[in-house]
Amino acid sequence: MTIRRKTESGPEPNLPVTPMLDMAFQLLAFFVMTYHPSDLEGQMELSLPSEAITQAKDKEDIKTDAPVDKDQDLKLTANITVIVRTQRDNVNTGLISGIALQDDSGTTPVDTLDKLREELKSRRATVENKENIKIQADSKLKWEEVINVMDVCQQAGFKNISFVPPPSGS
Amino acid sequence: MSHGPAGEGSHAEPNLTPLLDVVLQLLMFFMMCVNFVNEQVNEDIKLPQSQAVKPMDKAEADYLFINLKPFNLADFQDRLPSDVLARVQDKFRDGDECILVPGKEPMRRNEMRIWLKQQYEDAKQIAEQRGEKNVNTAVVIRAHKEADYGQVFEILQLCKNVGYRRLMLRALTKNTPGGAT
Repeated sequence: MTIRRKTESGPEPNLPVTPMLDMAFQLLAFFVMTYHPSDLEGQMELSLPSEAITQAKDKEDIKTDAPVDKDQDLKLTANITVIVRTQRDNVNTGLISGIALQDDSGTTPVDTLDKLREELKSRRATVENKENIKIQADSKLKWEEVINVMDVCQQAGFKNISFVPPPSGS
Repeated sequence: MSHGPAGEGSHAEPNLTPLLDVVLQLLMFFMMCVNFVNEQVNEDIKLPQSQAVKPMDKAEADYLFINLKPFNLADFQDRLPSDVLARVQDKFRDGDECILVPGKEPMRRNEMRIWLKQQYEDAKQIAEQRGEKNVNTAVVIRAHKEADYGQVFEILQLCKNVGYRRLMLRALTKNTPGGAT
């Protein structure tokens, strides 16, 4: 592109680029500032809560459609229950204070989430129902911690996780 | 900026056109990337992180969002009209269970039950008109990471009792940059 001399004949098309560029920069700055890539949200499909709830439901007034309640397939039969305990007072803030595994043979305490993963993996080999697991957490446990426990269960290979009502008085 | 005669009569001018092109390209990129915040989604909720979550299914159309978080007055301070704010202030103390649903004032659990029942009935009617047997709406629960397990559980139970069959939990996918709060 050559720079023409002003003395040449004919009108010269002169597009004022500079103000446009200024404006484009302004807009660019605005969008760069407001650019905020949000964390990717994902979701977990939930296996529906197990039988204890269905029983509890009958006491409540909601009884809209009966056929749904009789849907037996939705109940999960799991051999293993993970019990998660917590304390929440002025000192403790709802973090996990104890984990235990419960199955037909009894309850065994587990120290950490890592140990829980190992334990679940080894038990999964022996149990009959290799997909389902139940989590029973204390009512005051932080949701974040529940998700952590769910992660561990999934890593151990249990795909369907259901929740057991928190023990009363916790 | 004056363009005075520069010695020999010709003056050097930077060619801004390619620069403008590039800038417009960038502009376009950032405009595209603006995430239009889904109205249903409440930004105050800090979701927990999980490795087990799956990406969302875009094809799914029917969602019902329920946001749960411990009440914090500061969240509402500048957003609600004063009369609503006074009502909310009356109803909640900091740390209380607070259920947020798009287009509604913050609710307590029993209010939510009524609302949820209504939603279910409406959805059912629509499903029947379409000739479908069941309500296919998925209830998406977005619980704040500081919420109690007990509260989330109660809500799950409520949804189930009302009749919803598909429940989903939202969480952030782990290992995303900037994911840690």
